[in-house]
Amino acid sequence: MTATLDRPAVTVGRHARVEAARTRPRRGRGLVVAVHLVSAAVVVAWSQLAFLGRSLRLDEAQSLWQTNHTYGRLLELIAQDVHVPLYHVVLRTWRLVLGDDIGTARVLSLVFLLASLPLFYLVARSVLTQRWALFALVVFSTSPFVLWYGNEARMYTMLLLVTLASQVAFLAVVRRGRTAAWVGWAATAVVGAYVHYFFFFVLLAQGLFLLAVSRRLPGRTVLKLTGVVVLVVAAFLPWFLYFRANGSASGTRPQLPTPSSVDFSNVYSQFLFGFQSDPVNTTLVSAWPLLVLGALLSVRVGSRLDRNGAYLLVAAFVPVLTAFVVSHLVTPFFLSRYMVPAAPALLVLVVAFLAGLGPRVSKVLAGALLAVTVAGTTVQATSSDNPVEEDYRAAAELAEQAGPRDLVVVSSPFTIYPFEYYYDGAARVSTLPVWNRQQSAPTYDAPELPAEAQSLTDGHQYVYLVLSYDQGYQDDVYQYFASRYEQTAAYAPSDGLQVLVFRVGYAEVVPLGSPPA
Amino acid sequence: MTAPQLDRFSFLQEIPNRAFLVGNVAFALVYTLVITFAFPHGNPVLFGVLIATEVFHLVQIVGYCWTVWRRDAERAFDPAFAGSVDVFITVCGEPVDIVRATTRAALAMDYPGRVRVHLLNDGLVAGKDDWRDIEALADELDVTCFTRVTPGGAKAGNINHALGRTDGEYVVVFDADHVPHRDFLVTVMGFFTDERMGFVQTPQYYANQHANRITRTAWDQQTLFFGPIMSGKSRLGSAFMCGTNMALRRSAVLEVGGMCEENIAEDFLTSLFLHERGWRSVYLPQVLAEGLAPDDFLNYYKQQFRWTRGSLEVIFKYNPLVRRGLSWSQRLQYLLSASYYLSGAVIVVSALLPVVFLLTGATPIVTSTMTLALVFVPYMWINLYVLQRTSNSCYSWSAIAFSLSAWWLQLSALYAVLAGKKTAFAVTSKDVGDGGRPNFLRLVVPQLAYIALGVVALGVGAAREGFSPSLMANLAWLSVHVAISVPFIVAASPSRAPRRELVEVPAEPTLVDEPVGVLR
Repeated sequence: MTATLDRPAVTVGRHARVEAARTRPRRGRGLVVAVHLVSAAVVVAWSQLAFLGRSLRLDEAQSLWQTNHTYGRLLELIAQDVHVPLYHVVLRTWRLVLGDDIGTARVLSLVFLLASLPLFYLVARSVLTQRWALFALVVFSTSPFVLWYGNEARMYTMLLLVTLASQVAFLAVVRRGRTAAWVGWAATAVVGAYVHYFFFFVLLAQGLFLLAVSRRLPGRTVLKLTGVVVLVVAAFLPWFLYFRANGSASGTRPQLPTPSSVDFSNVYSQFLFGFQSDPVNTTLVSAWPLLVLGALLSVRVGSRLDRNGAYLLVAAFVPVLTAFVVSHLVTPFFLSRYMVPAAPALLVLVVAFLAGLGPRVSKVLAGALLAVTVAGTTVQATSSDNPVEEDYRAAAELAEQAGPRDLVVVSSPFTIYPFEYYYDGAARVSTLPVWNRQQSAPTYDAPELPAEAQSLTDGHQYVYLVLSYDQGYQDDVYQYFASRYEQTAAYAPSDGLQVLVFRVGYAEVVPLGSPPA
Repeated sequence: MTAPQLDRFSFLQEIPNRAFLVGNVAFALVYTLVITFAFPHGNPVLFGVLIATEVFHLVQIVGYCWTVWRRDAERAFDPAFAGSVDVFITVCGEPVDIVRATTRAALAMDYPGRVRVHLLNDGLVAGKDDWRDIEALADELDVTCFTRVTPGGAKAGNINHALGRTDGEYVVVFDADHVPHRDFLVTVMGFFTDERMGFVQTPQYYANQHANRITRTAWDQQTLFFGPIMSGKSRLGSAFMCGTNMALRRSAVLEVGGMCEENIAEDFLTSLFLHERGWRSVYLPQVLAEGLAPDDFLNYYKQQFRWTRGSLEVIFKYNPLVRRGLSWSQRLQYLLSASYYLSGAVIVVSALLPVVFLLTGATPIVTSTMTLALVFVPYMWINLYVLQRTSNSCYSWSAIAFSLSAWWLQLSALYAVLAGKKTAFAVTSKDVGDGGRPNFLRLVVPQLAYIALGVVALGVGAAREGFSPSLMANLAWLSVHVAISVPFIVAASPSRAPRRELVEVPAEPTLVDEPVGVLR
């Protein structure tokens, strides 16, 4: 006879109790509704006070320009760009119905953000008690990163919304595996695929997670997962073929650098603290060894990473890590705004970590988290060092000092869109390299620069050179003018955006409003 | 994500997830390789020291994952086994009430064969005032009492003394404060049906784990050892004796000359000798006796020091790698267990690196702090996750903090072993009089000195560097090391506000005649 020495894990009952506690009939529904309303009010208040009225940014100008076209032409333009079309189709419709100004366009993003709030709460509730999930919601509603994109006429809060919807459905799949959950997850997968390419990394993370836990799930999980994959591929195939037929965005891809470890850490820093000046951001990310302390503190008796928590961990890190690796192996596309689907999961994990600490410590640290988040949003809204603010409105107002005999030269060429949105001056506006906007954006050819610049300056008195979004030749452009002409003024309306004034001609009449030399 | 209610024996229940074990080793390997080869080297001395510490960590991680990879599964067992048993209850000044509870429980054990219970009274040779009370207790309970009159060999000497005066085929040993369950013998003795089975070890469970911070942390530390580690060692034929709650084959112990009296960790070394002679061992992951944890900082400190010194002596005097008769698994397992106590040196090096940077600007490697983060953070996180998972969520932050803060204790033990010196503790465990915690801050002076050094170094570093990313990163590291030492320092510091005057020990009511009360 033998004796068995390895006793099986006896945790089923405990998991069942925890699950029951989480799914207990909702008490304090009024509180939940109240906190949602307060959170929505906070989002709207921040937007009104700090963000909705800001200057149009480059990408927003792109959105407006693209959605100015008919639906057919819009699809064509998007196919030539590096995005998928759903947001733009919705935005065009929105503008047709409600108005075509930038403020109206931004409100669409705000609506997506507001719609995200209850979904965020549901995701948070999967791993947190009601009280902590509501706290997480409040932090989410004051998050500088989320608020920034909640007021930008781009697709990022739509991506956030569809990601959260996908996560709610996915967590239901993981929890019970009912058909309705699978249908919901499949539906959000198809929609998400048409909102942003990055959503495929969300799906990848979900697929890998499902495969990892499939043995413990009811029903034929792998088969159903395969079905969802087939559905998404089938749904996306028409667009993919259309995209290929339109050149695969070969001429419109932005030149992005290969991401470094700093870029990787900046993603998470921005998720939590928003867009801060370089010194502040450097200080924050340099304190990363405190994560070690956090990890040590998270080792607690009885504290387990359950399936929902494990998924959120995957959702917070795997898509970003995958994007980082792909950016190194295939092509760089690593921008923190693309990673926005990972932000809610990270926030929930941070709150979950705090919730697991001792009651007094957790309250203090929760207060600190909220204070830091609000401070981050405040600084982001008010600081002139905000690294992602683009004040083309101020640049245009400065350039409006130019007279009819002057010239405004914008470089990089595509930045002419936000500039033109505000510019109402007397001087003609051109780009360098010169761009025939009936065709795709021009490429820079160094030997051609003198000739092109000369053709622009001939016959003009002053050139207002508006430099932003360096595509690798900004210094060449600047050096050309600086080495030949007298620079009479220089302005920096925002980080990375300069307005330089050069005297290129010597007529007897000084232009009206000319700045002092 | 949290589940506060755990089965109190849940530390025995987790089955390891091998994917995470593989991941842990892979991350550790990648991290070590990156640190070693991918980054430009800074100060060569610091670099060499850093690599040595990282290799130590890597070996410990690989060893840990190997150990917990699978639990011991099945052993031959005869439920009708009835070999004669002598039960030894080792006593050395413990309160009579505690000894009484243990003895009564021992007498109440079910067993088909002959059982004799003996009190091994070392109170006289240890100069304890109540040694006569134990003899009176033996009369009261009608058990034998062996009171030694000639000192020597500490607990091992006490057991050997009794071995010479008894004749049972098997010996079961309980510390005076470890109360056996009624089914101890019927659950344990059947393993001796294997004629080469030298000893059977069961967990050392602390029934008073909730009494205070020290007992709680001491128990948390035990869970990892008596959960996955001992089960893994048993699988590898390397489960060793832990001094109590164990059953021994008399002939096996006598074959190696009795319990080893030359080493402060007599159980560890005797196990090695038994394995060397080809005797087998098994660890039964089932709580069959409930004992008491050290309940104040000094007792905890002494216990840890004893284990550390005993283990380090094994490395330096009985190096398992060169012992004949041991399998390679056994050699490596003994070395891993013993070398764990070298981590004090490794920890102090890690703690001093930020201080050295702040004072001098010297670093072991030259790289972006964020690049370092990218390889270190995942490695660290999966490491802790595996620790938590393999302990079935029974391990705790304070257990880690106590382990990491024991560097001075371990360095002192290392020095004592290398210098061949005896160590005495110049503090006593007297109560403060109002029921609070006594003052043991003298035992954590090195940790306090580290904090003071860190503050000075921070001033120097800030004056030299200004508010640079490097300063920030090293300040954060310094904060981590200081935070780690805080629970250890707090546990050593005096307290005047005890939460409870009397702590009930949660004994098994059906197994023990009366509950045991422990005064704090």
